[in-house]
Amino acid sequence: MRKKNRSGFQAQDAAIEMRQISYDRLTPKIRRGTSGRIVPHVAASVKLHLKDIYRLLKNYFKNRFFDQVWVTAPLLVFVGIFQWWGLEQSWGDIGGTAIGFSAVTVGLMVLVEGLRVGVIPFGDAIGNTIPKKRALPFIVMIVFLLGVVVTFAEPTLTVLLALVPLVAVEKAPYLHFLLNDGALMLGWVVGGSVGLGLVCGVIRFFRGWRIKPVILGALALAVGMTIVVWLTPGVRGVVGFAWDCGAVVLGPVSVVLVLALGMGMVSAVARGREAVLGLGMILLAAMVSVIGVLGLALVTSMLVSEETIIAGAYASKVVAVPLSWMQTTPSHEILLALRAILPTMLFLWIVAQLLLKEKFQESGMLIYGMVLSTLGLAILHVGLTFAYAHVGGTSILDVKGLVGSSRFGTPMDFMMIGVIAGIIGFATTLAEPGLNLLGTAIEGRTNGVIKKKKLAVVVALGAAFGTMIGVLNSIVPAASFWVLVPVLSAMVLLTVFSSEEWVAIAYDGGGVLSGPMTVPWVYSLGLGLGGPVDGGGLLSMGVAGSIMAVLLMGLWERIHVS
Amino acid sequence: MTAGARSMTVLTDVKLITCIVQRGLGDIIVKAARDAGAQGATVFFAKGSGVRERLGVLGVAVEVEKEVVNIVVSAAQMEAVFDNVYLVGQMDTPGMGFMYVTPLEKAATYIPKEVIDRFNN
Repeated sequence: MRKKNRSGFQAQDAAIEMRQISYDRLTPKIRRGTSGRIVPHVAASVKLHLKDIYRLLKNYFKNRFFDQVWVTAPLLVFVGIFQWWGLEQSWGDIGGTAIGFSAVTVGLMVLVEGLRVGVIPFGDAIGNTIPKKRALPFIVMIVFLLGVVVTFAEPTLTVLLALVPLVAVEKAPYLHFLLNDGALMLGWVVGGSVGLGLVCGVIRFFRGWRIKPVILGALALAVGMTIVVWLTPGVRGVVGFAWDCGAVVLGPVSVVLVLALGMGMVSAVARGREAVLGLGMILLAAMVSVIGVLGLALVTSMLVSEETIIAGAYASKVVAVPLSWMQTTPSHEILLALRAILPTMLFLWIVAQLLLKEKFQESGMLIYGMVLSTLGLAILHVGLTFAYAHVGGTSILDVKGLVGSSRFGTPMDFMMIGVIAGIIGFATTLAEPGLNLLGTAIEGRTNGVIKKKKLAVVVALGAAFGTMIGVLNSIVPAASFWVLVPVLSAMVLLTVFSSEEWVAIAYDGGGVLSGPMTVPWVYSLGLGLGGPVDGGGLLSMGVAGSIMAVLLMGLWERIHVS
Repeated sequence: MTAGARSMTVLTDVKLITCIVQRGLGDIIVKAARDAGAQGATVFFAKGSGVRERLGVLGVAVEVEKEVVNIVVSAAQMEAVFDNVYLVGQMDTPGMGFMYVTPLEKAATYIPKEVIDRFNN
């Protein structure tokens, strides 16, 4: 029989056992010492029954698992369809990819949790403490060193380098040089640029500079240098690569750490309303990296002639080395994950302990978080490698071959490639852990006004459009001018008309984007379509697209509200 | 009524149900409240401690970041909303949240004219 109470709402009375206890009987009695002061009460730990433990853990895992499933599902579905219809692969292969993606989902779940529980509070605490205990010059030095450390620690840059097959040295001699003999120098330049960019971001917090002029200034500088490089023959090939470097430069762990650091710092240095968000370090690191790589290319071109490079390339032979145990799965991935996390955290730990003499409260959680992050990153990469192998490596993205290069000219083919690129851009961006965490941080900072899911979808859609446009650019390099100029103008226009907060969110969101999920797919797509020179820059187009999408969202919200 | 006078309708028998849950679960609570007849809710973010610190190792399964959901209800509908939110929010599972009711003296908001007219006659 159903019970109806006064409001008419029917309660499932059979299932509920109701009882009432006075809270007086549950709270502890306090003892007083001889002086009359309270003896601090230590609460006894709660022993949970198996049923409670099960329900507690079930909720815990269910929430986090589904959080990731909804973002990896699009990619899995798309790749599955592509494999079955486009590549006509066996069910075994498709199954293998599915298994790989399951590992990816689990890895993401563990990684995101580890970052959220360990890295973010740590970064926040350090960011908060440094300004209170030391002056700006010291902070600048530490932040700069951090930039260098994260660049070398996170393998994202190495991944970028490894994905580029031997660039035809005659076509783009300086790109070839940077990727081979000059690789170490490139590493240092990028590291230094990241450091410099982070420093600029920090100084901006302290001086209270508004973000729009800073971004527009950095953009202007980067674009100016791009034009100079574009007009210099031989060095032109570096352009796509340089911008991709900027997009890729902070990996999932570093980006989250920098975000947390920024937000922590800003709460200690709070100046002006926009600065409360604590953003800007990421985008400046990216911009300065672009400028750095372009600069390096220009400087190299002035010091070393093309002929020397071409001659040098032919002279040295690449010797094949058998893969050591360190390079095979899964040891490779585990080492990669350790390398991505340990050096950075160690560096900060040293800073905290020795230089700031700060006792970190929740060191247990920090270690738990780091263990999770490492594990998550390792599982993620193993999953990606596994899935990738079953799809056939870069050949999946030999879209030209799929469509048939003989009939490559028809608009229909363009559209199909565009659509495929768009879907890849959307699906991979959505799955990025950095986006997930940025979304959470922004949701918290704006007190729920900007919902995480909405922001993630907008960013992913923007990346989809950006990738589509970028793909057009790759297929028809001659049309570059007509593609890049409108895109850039649109971006600048939107930036000028947007508010400070939205500009900060958009540009840092862009910097967060390129990571373990996007880079392998989007970059290979670019390579497959246009080769390393023309196909480069695809990642950056995706980033540009998402920046514009977020700015549009901001303008829309503003119009809506007023 | 004098021409141009503003009117104010004050509500009595009002209660506030406050529900503190883990980050991300606020929407579920709001929906549960709505289903039981509540007419609105406010959510904001907070940081909280409680049973989490007493669970030992299992404490990691409880999120520190919280969402605070405020639901204003009438005294008559309070039980229904309270019960439904409790059940849907799974408050009987450790770490899932804490809720309480506060009596409010009075409340005021927009009431559609048709509704007010019902009480004038």
